[in-house]
Amino acid sequence: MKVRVVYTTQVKAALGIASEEPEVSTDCTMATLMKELATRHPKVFAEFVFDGARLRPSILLFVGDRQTNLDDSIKLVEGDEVTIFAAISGG
Amino acid sequence: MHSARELTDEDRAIHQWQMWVDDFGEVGQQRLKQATVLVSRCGGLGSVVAYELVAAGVGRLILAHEGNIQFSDLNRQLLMNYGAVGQSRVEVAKRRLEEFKPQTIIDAVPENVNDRNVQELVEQVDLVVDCAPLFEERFALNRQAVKMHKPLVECAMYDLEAQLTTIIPGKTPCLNCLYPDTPPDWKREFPVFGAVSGTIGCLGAMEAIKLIAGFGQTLSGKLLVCDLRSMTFRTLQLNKDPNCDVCSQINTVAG
Repeated sequence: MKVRVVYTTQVKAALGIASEEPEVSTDCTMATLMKELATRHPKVFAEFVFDGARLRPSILLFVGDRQTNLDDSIKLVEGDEVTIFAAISGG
Repeated sequence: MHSARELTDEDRAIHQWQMWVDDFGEVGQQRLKQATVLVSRCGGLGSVVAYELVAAGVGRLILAHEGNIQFSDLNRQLLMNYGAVGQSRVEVAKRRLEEFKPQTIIDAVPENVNDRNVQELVEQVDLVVDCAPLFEERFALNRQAVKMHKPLVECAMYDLEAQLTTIIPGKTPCLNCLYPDTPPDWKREFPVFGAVSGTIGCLGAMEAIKLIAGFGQTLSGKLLVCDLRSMTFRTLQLNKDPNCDVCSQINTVAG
């Protein structure tokens, strides 16, 4: 199945894409999706998204309009929109 | 803090068109005049917030921003001007706002918010609008606002993207619930168009006006995320951190 991943701010700038639609397994959770994305984009995810195995505290995750976290066991479904939101402070 | 500033006939004449808004009216206008708001930094975002709050009739503003105007400020900092390059930003902002609406009390503080001045600044106001470019300043304001149960409007932008949320201590997630640490990659200088900082500045000012006057729905506990490159506006639901170091222990009925 496909889900839509939306990137914001510095993560979007570093990746050079605003979104993508990876093919994932039907039992995909937030943790497995993020692991797959980190494999696709190792340099950017290591710099902006993960600090080792830990999600950086400046990254927020959303499924649809609901905030979630890396440990959320709820399975993603076809067509879910996952937002990887990086904190900004421009004034 | 609330004072005894009363509406005059001149105030009514100036603000007549917004007083026609049904659920705002004279009561809302009176509340704005009685209110004092702290705007942390009056750069690209804070300039527009301050301008709109003065336009709307907020009685007193405290502007906190250190440093002098540079050429590179002039693509977005609408309270500044070419002839004032080299002069104090906050003093130039105060002069511009007083020319616009001499009825407004403007206190210019030539310092950025920090751990030393934050208590004195926040205790004087009814509401805080945070437009600072550094997370350290935002965290200091958040801690103090939560401690004093003062609502805090958080505005931020980067490139063509912007975000806005309202923090009501005791009710909504605070900034520390969202970001407990400074992003290691954040830099004080960032890509910005004035039209982007101005957009989120207007939205932040409207949020402050609604909070003070008590009408409409606010972004309490929600994050507005705007991408002006694609003209996408989304509202996301935020979670409180039950173990938050800043807000988890405060009284939940306050705010």
